[in-house]
Amino acid sequence: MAYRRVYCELSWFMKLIEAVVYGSLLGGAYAVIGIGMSLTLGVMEVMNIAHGEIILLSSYLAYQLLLLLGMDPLLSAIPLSLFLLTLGFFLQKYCLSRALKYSVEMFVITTLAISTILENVYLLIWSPMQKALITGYLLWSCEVGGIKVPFVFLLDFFVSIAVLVTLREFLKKTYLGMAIRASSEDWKIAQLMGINTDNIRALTLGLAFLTAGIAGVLIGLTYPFSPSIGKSYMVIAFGIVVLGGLGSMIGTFIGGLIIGLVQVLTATFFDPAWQLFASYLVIFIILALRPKGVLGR
Amino acid sequence: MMEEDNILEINNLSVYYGGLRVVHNVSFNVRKGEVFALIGSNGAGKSSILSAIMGLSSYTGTIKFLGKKIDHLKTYQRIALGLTLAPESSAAIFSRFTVLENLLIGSYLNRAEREKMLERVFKLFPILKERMNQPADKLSGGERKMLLIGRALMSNPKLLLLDEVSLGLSPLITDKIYEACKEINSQGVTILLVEQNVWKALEFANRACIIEAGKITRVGKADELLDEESIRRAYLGL
Amino acid sequence: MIRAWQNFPLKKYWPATLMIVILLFIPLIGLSAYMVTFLTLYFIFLSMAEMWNFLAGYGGFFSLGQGAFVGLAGYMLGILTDFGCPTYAALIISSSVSAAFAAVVSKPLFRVKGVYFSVGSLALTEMMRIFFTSWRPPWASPVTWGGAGIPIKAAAYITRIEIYYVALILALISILVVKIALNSKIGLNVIAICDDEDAALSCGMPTFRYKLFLLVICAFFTGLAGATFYLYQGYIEPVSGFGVNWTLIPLMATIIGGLRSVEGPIFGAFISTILYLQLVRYLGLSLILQGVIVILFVFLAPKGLRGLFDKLKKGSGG
Repeated sequence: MAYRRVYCELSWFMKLIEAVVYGSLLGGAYAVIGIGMSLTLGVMEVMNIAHGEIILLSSYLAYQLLLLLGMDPLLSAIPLSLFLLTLGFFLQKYCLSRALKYSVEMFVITTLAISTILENVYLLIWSPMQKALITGYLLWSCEVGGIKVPFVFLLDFFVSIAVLVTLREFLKKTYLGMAIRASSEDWKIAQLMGINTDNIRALTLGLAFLTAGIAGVLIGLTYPFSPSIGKSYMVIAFGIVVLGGLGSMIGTFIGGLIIGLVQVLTATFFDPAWQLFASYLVIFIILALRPKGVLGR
Repeated sequence: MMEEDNILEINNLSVYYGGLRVVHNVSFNVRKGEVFALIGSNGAGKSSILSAIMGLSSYTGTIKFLGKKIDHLKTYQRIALGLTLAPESSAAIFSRFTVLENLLIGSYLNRAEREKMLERVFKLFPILKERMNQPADKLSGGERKMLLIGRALMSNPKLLLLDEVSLGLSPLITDKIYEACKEINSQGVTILLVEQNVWKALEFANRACIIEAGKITRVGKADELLDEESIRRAYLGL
Repeated sequence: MIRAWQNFPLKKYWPATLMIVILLFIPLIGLSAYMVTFLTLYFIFLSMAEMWNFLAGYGGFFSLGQGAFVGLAGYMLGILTDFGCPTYAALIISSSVSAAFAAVVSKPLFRVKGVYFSVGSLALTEMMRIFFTSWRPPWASPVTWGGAGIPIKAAAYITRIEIYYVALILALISILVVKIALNSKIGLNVIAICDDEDAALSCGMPTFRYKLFLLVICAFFTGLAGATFYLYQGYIEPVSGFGVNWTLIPLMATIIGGLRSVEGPIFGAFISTILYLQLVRYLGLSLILQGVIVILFVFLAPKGLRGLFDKLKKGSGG
């Protein structure tokens, strides 16, 4: 009797630790989803409604490359990210910039339309059935202090840190990065420095697409995906920006951590069906509580 | 007067601020190497002229820089030609950057020269070198002005536009900054400045014009204008 | 509001009145089943478009979450009629639930503006979708609720013609409400808030109250339109009930006619209905087409067809 009780309590505690570990690792991956949104919001003061569908684009293309060429998703992440970087750049430079010049709302409407088109295109091509990026190393896991940690979770976490650190260095140390930061602070003064703000906006969207590309591969390895998940990714990205504030890598990371933790804790201790709902609820509450205008800056 | 001597030619410039015309058919020239002042009271439209020259406001009329029309060029394209502006507001610094980063971003188009340009700026404004790695928003009003001018110099301009150097600053700091500006001019940079402090402006400038309610009322050599009765009465309280 | 009603120029609207009379009597004379369906859907989409235009075009609140009002009202209709509530009462109550929901979320939602509002409304709708996918009420049978959705019992006891009239009256009332509201204090204040809220505040306007009215009116009629739709469809499930199509359809209809125009959606909703009906089996294709149309209009005719006509007039005549 006594043994059993000790076992159960330990188990509950272990469950908590496990949830915290999983949540944190997952949160790292979420940070990569959110950083793209943070960039576009900071520099261009708009959100790309199709952000989730771009992430899915990367997941689905990686899926096809895996299927047709047997290419490992981690490897295909490189050409995919570069492809998306270019796509985002040219999309903004020649297409979305015209919508943005008209008004912020037109940009939102256009990206909403793109989001709907992409989601339904995915439905047509890949059906509503869930797909996943299945590779051999998905089965690996290591034991740390009695908890089984799947390799993918560690991958998510460390790739995410690598991405955020690289991005931070780029923004801080390079001229282009400084130009992006300057444009996000005051685009008129940035122009006075000789910065071509149209190109900077295009580069920003390109970077956002690039991080979406990486996120697509990471998430595709971690969870199954289907066309309808795009909206969820976008809401999570939005939530990360709301929670973590704009323009801060650490803030984005923390935002991702919070959402990851809320999700996994809900799934472990309440009901897996409600995990997304719980994170959305937290996002909405924070959105409601934070005073007007003080969303990050 | 030879046209090649003019670094800047303004012809029939009318500047619009939200649909309202604030500058009416202004014309003047700035010669290479000189210091030209636009003086007038607050709201006369002086800053709008600078804004139009930089392409930040909509305007009608022609602006020629080094003999070529620049009206079709965007702001960042005009910087590439050798025009630059030190804005009036001290909020124009990048407050989330350090002092050094502010200066470096000024040399966005001529990065290769940045070390040389930095040296030049630090010589003119030693305090900026002292505060090099501090966040820019920690600077005092006078230091911010110096940073704005220094940052504008980083692009190695041929023509420097100065907007309200003395605004909100003590006479001591104002003098210091004007000293530095004299040095900048002697290094070959043409200066077009906008000033409410008529005395300081006419002291510093070679030529000047007076703007009232968006129109030019007088143009001439600075020392001549200083001696004129009507001007002394209207602006210098004498 | 009453003064605005008295100013209503009835004489000017005789072609519209004629149209309305025709629409009122034509089903009694004889109309094909397809036409009845077409017109019913048209009235539903028209009413949603008028409401979205009111909220977004005039009020400046680009809600992407119309699905929240539609789905909520649809589910309420299902639940109420399941428990024996008479159909017409259920329609009103369901819409009121949507309106109440709008009132509840208005406080947090209006704390943010612009893009944050848009995405916030979308996030809210997603939350509703997950809620209705995961929640099983105590009375749920094993085959209903969850992802499968629920049937609308009332649909079995109402004829197509009855739904037609409900939709027609709904569309008429929606247009009337928007027109009257725009000419009244509510409308003018809302437009003022849209143009410059700070200025409105500094004039002493209690801006939140008017934003609340706007959202609640929009939610009520959008909910009513949604409930009517689900009355017609007979069942509701969470994915399409709270889907983005409930935003895209009125958005497309509005963009075609031009934002800030009460007449615009009248034409735009036609296109929506045609696309919806022709491709109902391929809902995905219909949405893709609508997305493409929206993008085309954003780039070629951002002020809608009306803007195009104006431009053409200026070009040839002016």
